[in-house]
Order: sequence, then C-alpha cells, then structure tokens
Amino acid sequence: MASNADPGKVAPLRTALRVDQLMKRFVSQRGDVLALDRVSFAASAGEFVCLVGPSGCGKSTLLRLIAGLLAPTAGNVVFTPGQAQPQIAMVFQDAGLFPWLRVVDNVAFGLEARGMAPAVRRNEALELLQRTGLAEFAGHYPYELSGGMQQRVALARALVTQPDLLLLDEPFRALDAQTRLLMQEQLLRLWEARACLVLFVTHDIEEAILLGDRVLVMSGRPGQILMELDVPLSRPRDLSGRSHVEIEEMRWRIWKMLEPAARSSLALPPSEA
Amino acid sequence: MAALVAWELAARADMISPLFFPAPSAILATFWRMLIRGELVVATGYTLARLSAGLLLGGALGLVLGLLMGWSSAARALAEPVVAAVHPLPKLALLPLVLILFGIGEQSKVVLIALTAFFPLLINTTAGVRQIDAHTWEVARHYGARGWMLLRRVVWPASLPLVLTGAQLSLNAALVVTVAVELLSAQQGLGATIWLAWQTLRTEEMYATLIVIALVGMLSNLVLVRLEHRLIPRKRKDESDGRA
Repeated sequence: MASNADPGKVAPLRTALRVDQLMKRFVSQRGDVLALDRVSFAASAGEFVCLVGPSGCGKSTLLRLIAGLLAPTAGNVVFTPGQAQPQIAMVFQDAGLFPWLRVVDNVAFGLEARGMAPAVRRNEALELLQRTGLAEFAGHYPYELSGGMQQRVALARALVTQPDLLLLDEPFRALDAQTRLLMQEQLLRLWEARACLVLFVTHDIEEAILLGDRVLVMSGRPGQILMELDVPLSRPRDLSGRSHVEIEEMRWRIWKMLEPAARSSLALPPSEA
Repeated sequence: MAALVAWELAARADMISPLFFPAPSAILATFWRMLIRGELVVATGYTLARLSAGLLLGGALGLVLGLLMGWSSAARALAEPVVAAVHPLPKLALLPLVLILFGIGEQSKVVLIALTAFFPLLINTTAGVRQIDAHTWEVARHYGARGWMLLRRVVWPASLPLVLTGAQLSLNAALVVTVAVELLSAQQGLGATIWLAWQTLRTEEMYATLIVIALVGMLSNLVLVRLEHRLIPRKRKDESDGRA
C-alpha cells in the first residue's frame, strides 16, 4: 500500500497543542460580542480532550481559531514540536458534505486538494469507507444517506487525511440516542487505531466524560475555561458500562459548574438549592 | 382540442375569415407541403444556426464573466455599472447600431443574438456563485481546495442550478430575438418566412411556420431540462420530494 512508503508514518511527529490567552471578539453593527476570553489550555500528543459547555459559549469559535479558519483577536495557538502547519482535519456540526459529490469523492476531497492521483486517493477513501462500514455507499450521493451515515462520511473525510489534530464540532448533535451511541463507539475505535490528538466539542456532559481522557468545562459567553477534569476510566473504553460512581460524581460536578450559565441563557431563576 | 374543433368548424362555415384564420386542417396541410418541399427544413436550419451561434458566443462569455463577477468583488465593482446600463436596453433597438458596426450580413445578426443571450447567463451565474453559503466555502478551504480545483469541484457545481436557469432564460430570449431579427432583416430563416407569408397574404404558411417556431422552443427547453436532470441528480430528488 502506498502509505507504507510514507516516512511520516514510520516515525510520526506527535503533535501537541498549546492554546495561549486566546481571545476572540466579533465586531458587528449591533455591537461587539466577546466570544472567547483568555482561553488557555494544553493538550499532549495522542490525547482525547473534550470541551463541554452550554450552547453559544464559543466552543465552535475556539475550534475554528485552532483550525485557522478564524483569526484570533489576541493570543496564540502553538503547535509542538515546532510544526508550522500540522495536518488539521475538522468534522463540522452539520457534516458539511458537498451534495454534488458522491460519497467516495467527498471522502477523497482533502486528498484531491493535495494533488493525489485519482486512483490512489480513491483507494484510500474506499479503505476508510470500508473501515467505517460504508463501503457499499461509496457511489451514493449524500442525500441518499441518513444523518448518522452522513456524519460518518464526514468523519472518514477527516480521518483519510491522516490528521495530526482532529477537531470535532458537536458531530453527533443531530443524531438520535441509539445512533449516537454507535457513532461514539466507532469514533473511539477509529481513534484508538490512529491515536492522533483529538479535540471534541460537545454540550453533552456524559458524552464528554465517556469519550475523553480529559474534560475542559467552559462557561457561557464570553467563553472561558472554568475547570479541567481527568477522566479516571481506562482504555479501551466500554461505553455500555456507564454506571460508575465516579462518572456520576463527575457529571454532577460539571453540571453544578454549568448550571448558572445554562439557567441564565434560558432566563430561568437561580436554583433554590 | 375543443377550441381547435370550434376553429375548424367556424372557418369552414365562413363565420371567421379563412384568409386571416384558415382552418387548422388547411394549416396542417400547408405545414406538410412546406415540410415535403424542404423550405421549412432550410428555414429552420438557418434559424437554428443563428440561434446556436449567438447562444454559444454570448452564453460562453456570460458564463465566464459571471463566474468572475461572482468570485471577485473587484470584477463586480468594475462591471456592474456597465451591466446596469446596457442590460435593460431592448436589444432589438440596438439593431441599427449593430448593423453599422458589423454590416448587414450574418455577423450582425449573430452579434445581436449573442448580446441577448449574454445577460441572463451573466446575471444568473453571478448570482449562482454569490449564493454559495459561507459554510461551503469554509469546508472547501479547510480541506485545502483552491484555484482550479475549487472552481471545478465546488464553485461550478454549487452555482450550476442557477446557471442552468440562466441558460434557459438566455435560450428563450435569444429565440425571440432570432425570429425578430429575421423578420426585420433576413432573407432566410423562420422569421423571414413568416414575413414573406404575411406580405403575400399566405396566412396558412404563416401559421405553419409559427408551429415550427413553437416546436423549436419546446424542444430546446426540453433538451435543457434533460440536461439539468443529468447534471444535477439531486434535483430530481428535490422535485419528487416537493410533489410528495
């Protein structure tokens, strides 16, 4: 296979990430909005970091800043070891597939942009589709697929580029509970095979704990990091064994942290307790 | 159908003047005769040749400039005032000017048809590129698409539905102007045939030629719809969803 000859794969540069005092202010006619306020954190190579916070807390903005799709107002995103441009691949909230491209061409899109020959990129895309269980849909158009399948295609499109850093922006948000559980399992399996650095954004506390090595809890606007928690679960994870006492306790702690912001965003009165 | 029968009966009973409104059966007979003699085929050939030359020329220019104007705001700023000034002019009013510039031959006719076909495609293509949403650009950019690949894989297919609508508008406007130019200044073609028939009061021939023009319009639009279904498979899905 072609990728075996890739020297980068034999001795991979393990990318780590440091986010330093990152700020983002959106300027508009109706006034400025401070979306992120001095966000700092670090993530080591091969780590699975989950960012959890209420809706509209700037989680997506943070990912876009790290991906270089937005420019920060202040602060830095630093990749180590000294890589100017690590491979970053993002899975967007709504899959963001191109409706005019067949599934296989959607998956191969990033490879095509790198100038990979048609036959080679097709093979790579098909291999990944195989591993995500979508091989038989390679020739379909996205509209012929369910939401969960579309999101798997988006995941395949990101993974096929062999990213150093995988950014996931609430990828399972729109899925029903069963589909979501299966997708979480599949994501973990695919990640365990590659072990790139993952930043996973979600508003679902349980999801964050079940998937992550570490959970960063973010406040409502302006987004700030309120606390960091290490997840005491071993790998590989078994997502069905979810009734650990520790998980319940973690979940409760995170919720207590998020509750005021969640309440105020719904204009509910503060909790009595 | 009932209207046709009524027309036929009225014409035969001399309730309407058969000179101006000949019976449908008479029109059909004339149509057949003109077809056999080949004059309709020749006239249609002239008209189609002018139409397609003008469409190809004006359409291609409109398409390329439209992509440019959609993509680059500088190109838009430069071209928009010119478009705003020239587009609303009835193109037929430019015929004398075009005749001065390009002579009375075939060239001037094609130029006028091209000018007609140019604007709908230009405007729709510009709109087609501009309506591509920010998220599509973002995804394309994030996965490294730029230049030729961005055009071929994203911009072109994303704007294609509006481009094809523009093509349809261009086609119909160009057909109108083709026949009109032939009425005014041609020796051959469907428009010229109609004019000749009118001047010699052979109204059956006029009606027979009108049938051909209607058929040309219908068939060329049909071809475009087929092309659209072929190029945009998801469109068929949208349409069947809409019906459900």
